[in-house]
This record gives sequence, C-alpha cells and structure tokens, in this order.
Amino acid sequence: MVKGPRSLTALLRRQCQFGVLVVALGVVSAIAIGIKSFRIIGGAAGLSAMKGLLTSPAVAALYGKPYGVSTAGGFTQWKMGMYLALAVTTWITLLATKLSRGAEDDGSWDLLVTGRTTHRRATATVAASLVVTSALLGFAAAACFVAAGESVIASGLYGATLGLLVATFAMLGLLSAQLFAPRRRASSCAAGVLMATFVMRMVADGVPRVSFLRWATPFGWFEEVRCFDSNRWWVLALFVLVLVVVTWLTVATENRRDVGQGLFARGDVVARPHALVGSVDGMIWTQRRGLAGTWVVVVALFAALMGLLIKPLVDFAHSNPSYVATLQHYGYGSMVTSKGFVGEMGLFFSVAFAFLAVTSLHQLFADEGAGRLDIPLATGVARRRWLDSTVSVTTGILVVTAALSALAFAAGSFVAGGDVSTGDFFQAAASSLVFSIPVCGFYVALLGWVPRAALGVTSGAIIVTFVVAAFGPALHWPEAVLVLSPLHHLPLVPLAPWAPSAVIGMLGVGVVLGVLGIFGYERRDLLSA
Amino acid sequence: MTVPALALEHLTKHFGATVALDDVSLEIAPGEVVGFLGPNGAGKSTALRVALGLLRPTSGAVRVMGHAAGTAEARARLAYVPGDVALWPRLSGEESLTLLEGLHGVVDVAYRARLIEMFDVDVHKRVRAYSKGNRQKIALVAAFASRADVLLLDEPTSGLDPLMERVFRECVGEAAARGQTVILSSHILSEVEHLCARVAMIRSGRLVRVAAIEELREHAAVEFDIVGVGPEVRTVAGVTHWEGTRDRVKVTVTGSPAPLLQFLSTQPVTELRTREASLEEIFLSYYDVPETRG
Repeated sequence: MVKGPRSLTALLRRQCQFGVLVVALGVVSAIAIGIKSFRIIGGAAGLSAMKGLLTSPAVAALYGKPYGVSTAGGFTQWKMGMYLALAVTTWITLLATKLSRGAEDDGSWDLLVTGRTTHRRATATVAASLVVTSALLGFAAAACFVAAGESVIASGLYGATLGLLVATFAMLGLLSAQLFAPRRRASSCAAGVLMATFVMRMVADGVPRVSFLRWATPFGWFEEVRCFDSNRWWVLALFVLVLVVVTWLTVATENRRDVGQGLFARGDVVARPHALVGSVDGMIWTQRRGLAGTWVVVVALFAALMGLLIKPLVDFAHSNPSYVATLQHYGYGSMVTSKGFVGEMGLFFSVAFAFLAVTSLHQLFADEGAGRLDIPLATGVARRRWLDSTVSVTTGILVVTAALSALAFAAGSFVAGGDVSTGDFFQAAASSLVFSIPVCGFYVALLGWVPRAALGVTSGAIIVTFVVAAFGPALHWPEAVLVLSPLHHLPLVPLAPWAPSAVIGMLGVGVVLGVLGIFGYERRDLLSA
Repeated sequence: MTVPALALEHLTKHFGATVALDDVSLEIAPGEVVGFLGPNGAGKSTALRVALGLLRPTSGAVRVMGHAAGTAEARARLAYVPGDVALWPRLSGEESLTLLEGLHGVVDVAYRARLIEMFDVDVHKRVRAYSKGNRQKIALVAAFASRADVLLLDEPTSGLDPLMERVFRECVGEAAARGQTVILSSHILSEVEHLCARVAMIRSGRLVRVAAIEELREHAAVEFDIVGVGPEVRTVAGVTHWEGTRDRVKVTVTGSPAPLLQFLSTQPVTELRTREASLEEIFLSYYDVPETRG
C-alpha cells in the first residue's frame, strides 16, 4: 500500500522536477558565463582597469560588494551572483505558494488531507521538498565552481549560502501561504517582502551611511559570507536562525487556521459592484490592475535607481581611461556617455516589458484552463474579441508602465544631476517597447496552437534572447548567433537614432505571428477545467 | 417547416485516438424540454460543449436555431450552466451577473431580481466565498434571466439542496411555458422524469435511444404482484423474471401484457398490483448490459 506522505512526495516531485531542472541549468549556465567572462577579461590582471569601478557605491548597489573578485569564483559571485540569487529566490517563493496555497485554492488538497495525510504533514512534506530543492540548487552551484577549478571549501560555502538563501525565501513563501489566501495574495506578499529585502541590500551597498542595513536582509548576509575571500562560515548561522524562526511561525500558523483559509482573512463582501466589469475590456482590465500596479512600482523603482547611477558611472568613466578602453573592448563603449548608458539599460527594460506582456497575456490561458471563459465565450462574446481585448489591454499596460518608468528614470537622473533630457528617456522607453511586439505575437501564436507550452516557451525564448544580446558581444560570440536575438537589432536609443527597419521588422513578425495565433485560437478546442 | 432549436448533424468528435462522439444526430424542437442521459464519460458534456462552440467538431455540425454553433447568432440564443461553475473568485456574485449579462446583451431585470430572491443567494459576496451550490445559483440566475431561446444545462443541480432543486424545477417549468427550449443533462433521473417530455440516451459517444418518456414506458418492463397463482406463470409469453411462493408471485413482463392477462383470467386471482418502471429502471435497462458495437 502506498502511504499518504510518500505519494504526496511523488506528486510534488512530478510538479517540480521540470522547473527544478530548468532553474538548475540556469544556475549552472550563469556561473559558467561568469567564469568565462573572468577568463576573457584576462583574469585578476585584467581587473586592474576596473579597480575604481569595483569600489564605486553605485556599482555596489547594482551588483553587491566585490569580495574575492581576483578569483574566478569571487568575480562570478559578484558579477552574476546577486541577480542569480534574486531570480532563484523569486522562483522558489512563487513555487512555495503554488504548491501549498495553490493546492488549497483549487481544492486538490481537500481529498488528500482527509485521508492518511494530515494538513500539517502535507505542509511539512512541501517544506521538506522545498528545502531539498534549495539544497540541490546550492549543490549544483558548488559543483559548477569546483568543476571550474575553484577551491572546494569556498565553492562549498557558496553552495551552502545559496542553498540557505533559497530555502529561507521558500519558507517565507510557505509562511505567506499560511497567512494569506488566495494564492495571488500570498504570492504578492511573499514577493513584496523579497523585493523589499533586495532593495534594502541595494540601499545598504549604495549609501555608505546606512551600510549596517546589510545585516537586516538575507541578501546582505549573502554578500557578507564573503565566499572566495575570507569565507565567513559563521554568517550562515543567521540564515539558520531565520529558517528556524520562519519554520516555527509556519507550524504555529498552520495550527491556527482552517484548510483553504489564510490566518488573515479579507472581507468577502462587495457593497457596490465595480463599474467596469460589464464590458470585455473593463473586465480584462480589472483582472490585471493589480499586476499592472505591481510591475509599475517595481520597474519604476529600478528605473529611478538607474537614473541615480547615470552621473556617477559616467563621471567615473571619464576619470579612468583604462576602464573606458576595457568597456570598448567588450562592446560596451557606449556606456561611457549618459545617453549610451540609458540606451544600454534599454536592454533590461525591453526584457522587463516583455515579461510583463507575457504575464498579462497568460492570464487568458489561466482563465481558460480554469473554465472561467466557458459561459462568457459560449453565450456572450467571440473568442477573438476576448483575445483582441486582452492584447489591447496588455498594450495599454505596457505603454503606461513604459511612460512611468521613463518618468522615474528621468527623475532619478535629475536628482543626481544628469544631463539627459526627459524626452530622451521617453524615446528610450518607447524603443524598449518594440521588443514586446514580436514577443506578444510569439505568445499568441503558441496560445493558438500549443497553449500549454505558451508560457514556458515564450519565457525561455526571452531569456535566451537576453543572454545572447547581453553576453554575446562580451564573449565574442559569432555575429551569426548575435543576429538571432531581436534585441541585437535595436539601436541604443537615445544615443543612436531609431532604426525604422528594426521596428518595421519586429512589427511585421509580431503581426504575422499574432494573426497565426488568432487563426489557431478561433479554431481549436477550448481547454476545460 | 419549423427550424429546430438545436440540431446535431452527424456529429463526431475525436480527442486524439479517443472517439468522444460518433455520428450523433439529434433534433430538438423549439419549446421542448429534453433530457440528455448517459453514464459518466458517455459524451453528454462533449456534445453540449460542441453545441456551445467551446469544442470544434471533428466532422458534422451543430445548429442553434438554424445558426452554426459558435457564431454570434448562435451565442445570442444560448444560455449555459455547467456542472462545475467557474467564475472569477475576486468578483462578487452581482459583478459576475453584471459581466455575464453585459456580454450576453439581454437581461430581464425584474425576473433577475425575482430569481435572486427565489434562489436565496447573497450576490454581494465574492465568488471565492461561495460554495459550489452558490456558484451554480449565480449561473442559473444569469441563464434564466437572459431569457435565451435555448438553455443548455449540464448537471445544473448537482450542488443544490432539495429546496433549491424545487426552485430550479419551477424555473424550468416557467421557461418551457414561455416557449424556451431546455436541454437538461442530469444524473438525477427523477428530475429528468419530472421535467422532460423526451430523453436522448447516449453511450460511448453514440446515441442509443431518443424517445418520449411515455414511449419508453410503453416498451419497458412492468412489474405484476399477484396473489392466487403459482410458479406456472413463468411459462407465459412475455414474462422475463419471476420470484415468489406457491400462491403469490412477482413477475416482470416485457412487451405486451395480453398473454399474462389472458392466463390470469383462468386463475383464481385474489389480488393484483402493477407498477410501471421508473426512468431509472429504464435507464439501467439500456446501460446495465455489456456494450456491443457493430
């Protein structure tokens, strides 16, 4: 006879294994790219040109404090580690709420926890699975460093640190799932805490007066372990302490709530109906306003921070000719001017806008899969109308987000005394939106023909496109590879003028793919709940 | 010639290698209340989802009041209640009704208010706080208030309590009285027996019988409880089953009862009771035998 917890473990493994594999590959790839970059710049000797840059608070705010950068491991940890950690912790936090709160929301735990498995055991099994996943990712990172010839002790410490950081946020996600319902609220709260701790780390690293804040955030501890430098094992105790506290809170909270409910219930009475829900466009907008608000805040914060960094980085470049030469050697020479920096940042905004577009479009798939579109599409509007509205509302959200990010970018630059005009920031933001056109078309095409693959394949394509455009030039990848990335064809607006051919090309690709997708969507079976 | 409210024309639907519907043809006249019966997985919901335009037929066609399924004209004439109603959890019941009515374009506001009262549902609550039954009530209110020509109801009362089931029957009765067509897929056979004049039975994707309930009864087995005859009754033509003692038997007769009645006229019968087969027994007679596919 199969025992409850064992079958739950098998179920969790099935739910997670593909995601874990992809994330592990991402971790290994990021580390491999970091190590390769270190070798390309000439190792420790090549770092001399970047010495001033490494001590810049602005750069520290972006990448973290550079510890042990004269080794391939330390350099990789500094260059890739912080954003790698951000990506992996975000993923595991959302996974934690999906596996626990998500399973309660859709009722799949109802049968489970009335059998041999209690709710507490089910939660404990999820927690154990998340911790094992975190450990595996840490192990993958450590193994990658060891394989690259780094010290086993330092590599092991890095793996343990990354694993503990990931486990900490996994447990935070699980705690949020006990406190809040539904899943969207639990995920938002957990992701909000994660982002707050990351921003706190940025502030602590960027503003020397408040550097003590580094000790108030797990991302700060992640730095303070100083792997490949002084290897401070004792910092890991902080992670362990927080893990114990969060686990205890999770257990205590789980004990005090009903299955299917969060400890903090929200009012379920709506006194007056929302004015917009009676129309397709209004309904689609109301379902995405939370998403739009969150993205606007996150992207605008990032933009404002980048704006603050423009002047210090450009000033630094002007005082370090060797640094300028290094940047030029690796294809980033344009970053030594303010407009060039804004143009280079366009790459990140392009990717952010593309993910926002996919997230907004994917809500349609989620609604369809849950059966929420059955009655509206059977007795109300045509599928195409719903899809058209989804694309229109998504476009509106993108334009507003881009405009507000341009304003925030300009505001940050203005505060720091930058010399880029507000119009230039708007031009750059508009240019960053162009990449979202083929991405939307690609997603819609997949939605029309292979809907279940739409999110994964599109997200993967965005990541690959970004990696090629961001690291390809520095790693001297062949032009034949670089041209495959649509981002490679976008000029550095406002430093360079718009490229009408690129815009028209991407618009054409987007429209053709979109039309193909609509054609498929109108003809295929709707998914049923 | 009257245009059928719903016409399935040689409808076939495959899901990969699985044949969900196999050459199903059925016509339902305007104003009819038809039961759609079949065991789980027989193809009832698939047929309804094709009629709603949610699934595309592999071959064949569906017409709603003469319009191809999935077209704007067909949608405007349809109302639908699925067995498991999925709505947006953050919307209130009232917002859900506003959305569904806004998309359909037609609502009888006064009737909607009456339905909300009859079904006793708090429309100010968010959908996430609703039970399955309450979500079903919202979908039923939206469907009936739309006054659509054709109501496709796929196990619409599976989450309702007996009181609300009675309200549902009342609403179907009112809809039928107004000339609306109702197609009711249900496992509650007493409900189908009470509401429907005709039933369509489906098995493994094939339509096995379409008939009026009275017609089914005419050809169904009738049970006789007789005092005053012995086991010799089993030899009478038409008797398919018997049980009993020396002078009291229960026999089941399939087809005409004339031979039995003729036999009984020669016997010292002191008591005779008959019982017609219920729809459930008729249903089981169609499904409780191994399938033979040609």
